[in-house]
This record gives sequence, C-alpha cells and structure tokens, in this order.
Amino acid sequence: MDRIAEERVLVVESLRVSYETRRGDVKAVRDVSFKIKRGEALGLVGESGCGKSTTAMAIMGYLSSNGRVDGGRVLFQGENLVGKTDKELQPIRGSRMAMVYQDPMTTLNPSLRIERQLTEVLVVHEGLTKREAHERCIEMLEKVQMPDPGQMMKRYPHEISGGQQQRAVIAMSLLCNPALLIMDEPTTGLDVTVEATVLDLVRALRNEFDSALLYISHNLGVIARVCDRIGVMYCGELLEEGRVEDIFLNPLHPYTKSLLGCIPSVGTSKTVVPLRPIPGRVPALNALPAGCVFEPRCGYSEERCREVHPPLVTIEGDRSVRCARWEDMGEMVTPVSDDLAVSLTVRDKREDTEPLLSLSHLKTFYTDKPSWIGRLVAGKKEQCVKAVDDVSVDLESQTILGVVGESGCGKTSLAKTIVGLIAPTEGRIEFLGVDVSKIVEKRPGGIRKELQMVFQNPDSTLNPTQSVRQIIARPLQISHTVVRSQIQEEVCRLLDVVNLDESYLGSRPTHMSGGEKQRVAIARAIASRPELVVCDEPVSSLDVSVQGAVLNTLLDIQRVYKTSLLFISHDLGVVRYLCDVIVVMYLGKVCEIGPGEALFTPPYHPYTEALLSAVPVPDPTVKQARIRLEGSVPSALNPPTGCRFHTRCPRKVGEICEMTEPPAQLVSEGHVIYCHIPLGYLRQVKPVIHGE
Amino acid sequence: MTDRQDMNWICNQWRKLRTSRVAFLLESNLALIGLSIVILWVVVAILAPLLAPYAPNNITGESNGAPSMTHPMGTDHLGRDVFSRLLYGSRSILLLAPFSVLCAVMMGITLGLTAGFFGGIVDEVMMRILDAVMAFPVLLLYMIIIAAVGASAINVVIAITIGGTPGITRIVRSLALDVRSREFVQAARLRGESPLYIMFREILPNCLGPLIVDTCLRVGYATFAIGTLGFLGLGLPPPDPDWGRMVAEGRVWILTAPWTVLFPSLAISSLVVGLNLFADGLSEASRRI
Repeated sequence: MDRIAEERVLVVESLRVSYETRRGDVKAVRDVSFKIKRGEALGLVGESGCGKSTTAMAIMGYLSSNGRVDGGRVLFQGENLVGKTDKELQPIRGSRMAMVYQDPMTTLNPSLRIERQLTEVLVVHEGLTKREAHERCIEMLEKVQMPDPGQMMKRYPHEISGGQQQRAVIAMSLLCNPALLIMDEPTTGLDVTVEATVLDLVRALRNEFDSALLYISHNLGVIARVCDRIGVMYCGELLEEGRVEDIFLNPLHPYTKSLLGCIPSVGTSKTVVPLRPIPGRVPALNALPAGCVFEPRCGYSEERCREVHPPLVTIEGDRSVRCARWEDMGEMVTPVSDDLAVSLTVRDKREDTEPLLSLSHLKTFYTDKPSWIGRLVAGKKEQCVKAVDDVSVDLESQTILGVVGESGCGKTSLAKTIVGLIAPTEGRIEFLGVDVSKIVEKRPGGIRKELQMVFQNPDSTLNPTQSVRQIIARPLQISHTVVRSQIQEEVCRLLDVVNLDESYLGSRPTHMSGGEKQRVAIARAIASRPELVVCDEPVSSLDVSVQGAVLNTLLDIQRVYKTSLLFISHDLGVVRYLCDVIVVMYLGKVCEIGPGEALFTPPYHPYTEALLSAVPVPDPTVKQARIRLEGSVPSALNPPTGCRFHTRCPRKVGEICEMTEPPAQLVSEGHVIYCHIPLGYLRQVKPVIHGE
Repeated sequence: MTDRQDMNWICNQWRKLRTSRVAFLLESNLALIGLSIVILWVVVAILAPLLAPYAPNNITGESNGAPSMTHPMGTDHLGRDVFSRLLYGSRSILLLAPFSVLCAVMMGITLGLTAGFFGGIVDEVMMRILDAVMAFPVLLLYMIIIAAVGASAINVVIAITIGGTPGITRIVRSLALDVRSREFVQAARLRGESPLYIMFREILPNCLGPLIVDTCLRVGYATFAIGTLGFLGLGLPPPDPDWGRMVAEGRVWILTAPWTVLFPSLAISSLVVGLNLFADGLSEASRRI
C-alpha cells in the first residue's frame, strides 16, 4: 500500500475548475484525471484556452481570486491538496512541489540578485544558513550548466540572457529536490537553439533527480523530446492519454489524429504531404456542445457523439481515450475534403526572365545618434545596429522564398526594407525592373500596389474601428483593380479565397479569432493583385490547428493568382513545408540559400545544421543528431568580426573564420553556402535528421 | 395599441438599449447619476420659458427680497426674480460650455494628429508653442484674451478654446503616437494612402475612447470657467442672466441677502459635479470593456 502511494506522486481525480466572470461561471476544466509516478514525465498538450495552465495552477493552488476548484481531488503523495489554505500549502510549495513558468523575466524579481533569490528558497524551506545555502546554489547552478556560477550569483536578472534566466529558474525549482516539478511552457519565449539546450537540460536533470514532471506545452515536438506520457487536452477536457510512442504512432482520438496531421515538420513539404487543418473553431466555454466537445469539428462523428458526452475509457491499463468511436479509429481513413487538400502547384515554365525581386548588397542600419547633451554629459557614443548587412538575393516570379533565422538575424528588418517601411542605408532593391531603393512614400504608385505585406500580430494588423467589408474594399478602391460597381462582388470573392464566410462582412476585428483576422489581412494584401506579398511571421502567434488553414490559404493564393511570396519565419517546419527556396540568416548576414530539399540535406552550413538538430520534431521515432551551440546570439550592436557565426560555430576552422568574411560557395544550381569550410568536407557530413 | 402591446414595446426598447453599444453607460452608477443631473439641467434650459414665473430681466419684486411664495428663491438687488434668472441662465451656460469645448477639441485633434503623425521638427515646434500657452495660468489667459477682444459670447468661446487646446493636443498626440506604430497604419502606408487619410480615417477613430472621456471632463471645467469669467465681469454683458455674474453682483450683499449668491453657486456646482460624475463613470465603464 505504502509503495503504491509512494510511486504515484500526483493523482488528479475528476478535477473541475471554474472561473466566475461577469457572464456567469466559466467551466474551464471539466473532469480531468491523470497520474504521474516518481521519475515519470507527463506532457499536457493542447491549444490556447484548453485549460492546461489552469490545471497546473489548480494543482499548486495558485488560481486567481475568481477561480475555484469545483470538484475532484488532487492527491499529492497521498494528501488531498484541494481545499487547503495558503498557510497549509506554504511548506509544500517550493520544497516538495515546484513550478517553472513561461517567462523567466517575470518569474525572477528584477530588483534582487540571483544569489538572494536562490538562497531564499533554501533558507526558508530547509533552514540553512546563508553560507550553506550559497554553497548548495553554486552546486545547483553547475548542474544546470550555467557558465561561471560564482559570477552569475552576483548578477541581476536583466544582466543575463533569456536562456540563462530560465536555467536559474529551473535551478531554483530543483533546490529542494521536489517530488513534483511543473513546467508551464518554459521554452516558448526562447530561440530554437537555446530551447534545444534547455530541453536537453530538462532531460538530463530528470535522470539525476527522480522528480515527477508535469510538462505543459502546445508544441508536440517539444513534448515528444522530453516526456514519457502525453495527455491531450481540448476545451477543458482530457481527450486522450497514453505513452508518447503510442500516441504518436497510433492516435485513437480524432482530435489527436487531426492535430498530428496539421503540423508541418522538417521532414515534409507541400509537394509530399498536404497539411490538413481542422475546420471550425474551438467552442466558447459558455456555449459548449451537449455531447462530445470535439464533435462539431470532428470528421468521424455520429448521432450518439452529439447526444451523449463520452466518458474517459481506460484501455490496456495505461491508455485512456474519451471517444465513443475509438475502436473504429484504426480502420478509418482520414477524410480529405477537396477544398482542404492542396493540389500541387503547377508552375508555368517561363522563359528565363528577369527575377521579380533582386536585392544587391542591401544594408539597413539603425543608427542612434545621441543629442549633444548626451554626448557631452554622459559620454554617449553613436551606436549602429547592422540589422541587414550586405544581403544579395534574387526572387523569381511565382516562387515562395522563405527567410528563416532566430531573433536578431534581421529578417523583419529585411522585410520592412523590401516593402519600403524603412529606407535602406545602402544597396539596391530592384522590383519588376524598377529601382525601389527608397521609402514607400517615394515609390511610384504603380509599383506600390504590386508589393504588399502581411504582418505578424493578428491583433494589431486590422483597424478595430472598421468592418471587414471596409477593410478589404479600401485597397480595391485605391488601386482600381475593379470598377466601382464591382467592388462589393470582389470583396465577397476575396473572402471566399481566404475561406471566410460572407457573414463576416459586417463584423469588426474585435469579435474575430486570430486565424480569422490573419485571413482578412491576407485578403486585404491580395486585393490589389500584387505580384509579391511579403509575409512576416504570419502564423507564429496562431494555434497549430489554425496555422494549417492560413498556410493552405497562402498556397491557394499562390496557385490561383500566381503571386510570389516572401515568407519570413523562425519556424523551420513551416518554412520547409511552404517554401520553394529558403534563405538562412544569422545576425544580418546570409548563411545559406537554396531550394528546400537541398537545404535540409547535406551539405549544410554549420548554422543550418545546428538549427536542424535543434528543432523539436513531433515524431519520437525520428533520430536527430545532437549539435548544440554554446551561449546565445551575440548582440547586433557589436557583431563578431569575419564570419558572424564563428563565436558559436561547432565546426570553426580557425583564425580565418575570425578575420575574413566567408566566400560564397556554389553547391549546385541555386544553392549557395557562405562558409570557409571546403565543400568537399561539407558534403561528407552526415544528415541531421533521419528515420522518417 | 393595447396596454399589453405598450408594455411589450417598452420592454423591447429597454432590452435593445441594454444590449446596444451604449449599454455600458447604464452599468456604471456614477455615470447614471451624473447623466441624470446633466439631463435635468438640459430639460430645464429647454423648458425655461414654461417653468419660469417671470421674465428674467424684469423687475418684479422688492430689492433683495427674501424667498417667499411669489419668489421661491428671492430677488436680487434690482428686484429681479432669482429663480427665473437661474432658469434662463442655464441656457447660455449649457450652450457655451459644450460649444467652446467642441471648438477646442476640433483644434486639438487637428494639431495633435499632425504632431503625432509627422513627428520631427513639426512636432517639436508645435509642442513648444503649446507648452508656452499652457504655462500661463488659465485664468490669466482668459483675462488677457477677453481684455484684448472685449466681452461677448463669441469671445468667451474663443478664450476657452485657446485655453483648452494645448491639453487636448497633448492627449491626441500621445494617442496618435501609440496608434501610428500599429500594423494597420503600416498597411495603409503601403497602400499609398495620403497623410490626411491616415490621420483622420485610420488613427483618429482609434483615439476616440479616452478622448471622449476627457471631453466630458472639459465641459465641466468650461462650465466652471464661464462661471468664473462671469464672476470677474468678463462674461456675457448685462443684463443677460449669467450665473457667474449673478454671484458677482450678489457678493456685495452676501451678509444681508445670501440667497442671491447661494442659489447661482449651487447651480454652477451641481452642473459641474454632474458632468464630472458622468465623465468618471464613462472612464470607469470604458476601462471595463
């Protein structure tokens, strides 16, 4: 009896959590049950609003003042935590149960040094003296692979990088060797290469401390890398639970199946496997369907799914699923509706014409000239951020060019310069044969309407005081794409192209979801039938199931209107899926350009190789090489000399990398690598991802 | 219509009001109280000829007569009925205050949008000039203007407009700076929209929220300012019933005939309090949205 109780560190039974709002009670979590054993890692995966963070907060007792646990039990090492007061929970939190949040900058107190924050945990929970606590903290910082722990302790949070902050938070949570560690999207705000190192750390720590781990994320790739078991949540309910391999290889719930089918991964491109987005949207919590909560969007539902709420059925002892038709899942072929599947792009073979967009030695620098007072009194110097430094790329018509890179690589600055929101500092931009190396207000009107942009943030991309009809009609009026009398008809047609119903015409953006707003933004951009649309991370802030719909919309547009796209993203999977040619950027410079398939197979630029090995792939059977970069991206204010990547490059040749800029090496038609390493050697490198 | 149909219609109208876009006004108690006071005065101003027992400028009683059955609020030093003068006085103040604030808002919007949108030297020069105007104590500013151009209704409006423009310009400018960085404004630039279009059709509608609340507050200040100007003898010329002037004229007799000062003062305060409550309630409700 004792051994079983010991083994199950956390048992959540039929947990129900609701929030009081002005519109009544919102049942955010309904009947969620799972168990985590000592040393096991359970990943809770789901989209935004599915209740995974609420569940974590309820377990820790951190629900906000209008939230309460309506029912169920949370058994932590045998004790029921529901109903306990803060005073009773205080000895447990931090010592036996710890949590790591998403944003380390807000988890750490910005006005206290790291030392003070870490030692406080030990002083309060274990009664150690400051000196003893200090020793323990240094040990722990070494375990989380923090460079120079002694120095680190004396710093303030804002003086260390994001990855280091998160390590400090992880160290803080592990100081008392807790039985349960909850991590709520700890790597979401970090760059891919930094994320990879933090995930490695979490895996290593799991082996060393046998804490139970509850890992929450919306990213299936990350969960596949870190966890043993997965629980899939949707709209407040747990739909499926089981081992990672079982769930990925043989998903039983239609939602899980659809979710796996709509994630672009580094292995697939649009010509191989089309994305199948999930139609519809997540139901509002105050208008839940009577039967199965996923039924309105499910392709396999029957009458009984609409009427009866399915119970959680346990299969084979370690798997459970909440679906009335789970037994039939094996035989089912995913229905692919015609308008969702993407037909392969058949490109008209054009004769060798001029490229649509040609960038030569483009440079965009942001200079910060301090006022004469600043210079006199504070000794401030002129600072220059070389956001885009000598980029030369050609974009052919009817292609999709992807620009990928981490934060600070200059991709957004590149987009803004091409489009004209920022004036280039040097260099030339040629579009449709016309020199447009100036700010948009100075460009000729005819050129302006051929070059449009889709922005990153769906919440600020549309004017909230205008209706969808006005938003889409305006560019039509300005560019005279159609005669006045036909404008309304054209607006409806554009909505149809982006898969939105006519009923949206009168709505305002405030009532629309992120995916819908982004689609309206796309309709607005293509209204004037531009030749080139620049897309700046248009799907980064959208849920996975919605991303697919927007990506497919972009593909449809490219196919129907023969538009070219310049697609910017930090997500390699999306770029791989969508783009014909990909440009990899690092700190303002181009590392590698090439067609999609060529880029993702050797020879690689060392940075591309590192990116590929860092990206979490949502498939536990895939073998991924493990190449990790030290440190984080250097500041753009003071970039390294020579090859910008040499400070972190695992394949650095020697002094030549520090002194001279790398030459362009032509690998094959259209594939260029900028590196000092000779091509022959690069060709022999093993592929990073194999086993798909 | 039958009684039942009447009731249904009323219920429907009420329900429509509650779910309409102005419904948030009804949620705030403060706003409701403030609004009621203001509406009360508006009704009084409109119905003044019907409600007032005497014409405001006629001498109908003894000098400084105490409140009585014939003169519910007494008479002033010339024998005019205070009550009637009060009712008629509401007209000029309720006309001038919102009108002058409206002028100030229109000027402020134009200047603020220009400064916020163009930035650079245009912004710097405009803001420094307005800073200079704002540096003057408001009352002194009013006095200088009226002394220069003379006392009349239009000049009161001009004075209040000049006094209120810098503050409004600042608010609009900071709102415009914030909205200008949003992506839909960038999209408008990409379309090649003219600066005028971007300022007035893209940026301005998104600044209205805080601006409306500020405007309501300013109507309160303007009411008070008009009262003060009247008190200083710089408001509407006599014999028009001007609450501020009534207070000024009655001040000399305050010990023997306090009603000549008390009632006009209460009138000014109640209107200002009503407007302020309404503005507070509006800002509370708009924050909750």
